[in-house]
Amino acid sequence: MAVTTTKLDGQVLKVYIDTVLLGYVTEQSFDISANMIETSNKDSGKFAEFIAGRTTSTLSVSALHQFDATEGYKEMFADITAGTSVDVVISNENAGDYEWSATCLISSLSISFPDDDVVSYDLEFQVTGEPTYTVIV
Amino acid sequence: MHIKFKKAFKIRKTTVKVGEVLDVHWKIAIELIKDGTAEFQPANV
Repeated sequence: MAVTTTKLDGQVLKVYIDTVLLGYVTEQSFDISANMIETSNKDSGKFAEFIAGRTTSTLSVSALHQFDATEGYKEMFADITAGTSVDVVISNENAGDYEWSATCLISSLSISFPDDDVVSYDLEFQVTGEPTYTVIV
Repeated sequence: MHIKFKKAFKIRKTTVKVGEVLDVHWKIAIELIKDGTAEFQPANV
């Protein structure tokens, strides 16, 4: 296969936790931000100056709850209560395209049980260390 | 990538039984196919 040359439908990008597909995901996002350390001083004049500080990344996932999911709420619950780190990959598994990969701790897990609506849960992953965005070979 | 297990295999918190189909990341899928633990399984089969 070759790199995808069209716009992407988000459906094709799936979430893998320690290599196993996370079931019934409806949405996921990856955020990276860099701390900006201000170095402005009396000699800076009108314009503020900065140097780059630490970079922090997070992953967010929303999914529908189903008791028999191979990888789902119960595994995430076990990981957050034990403080276990997991390897998270977001990938479409298409050679030539890119995938996101990071070692993460689960920082929050929230499940809701609305009346007349589907049970779903939200996950927040705190990336520990350096995330990667690499080509699928 | 969907693979069908030919041998019981512990992955994550689950021991997958013979004949079960699982969607796993392509890297581990290729490893498991190469070492004879699993075989490629087309999706929706």
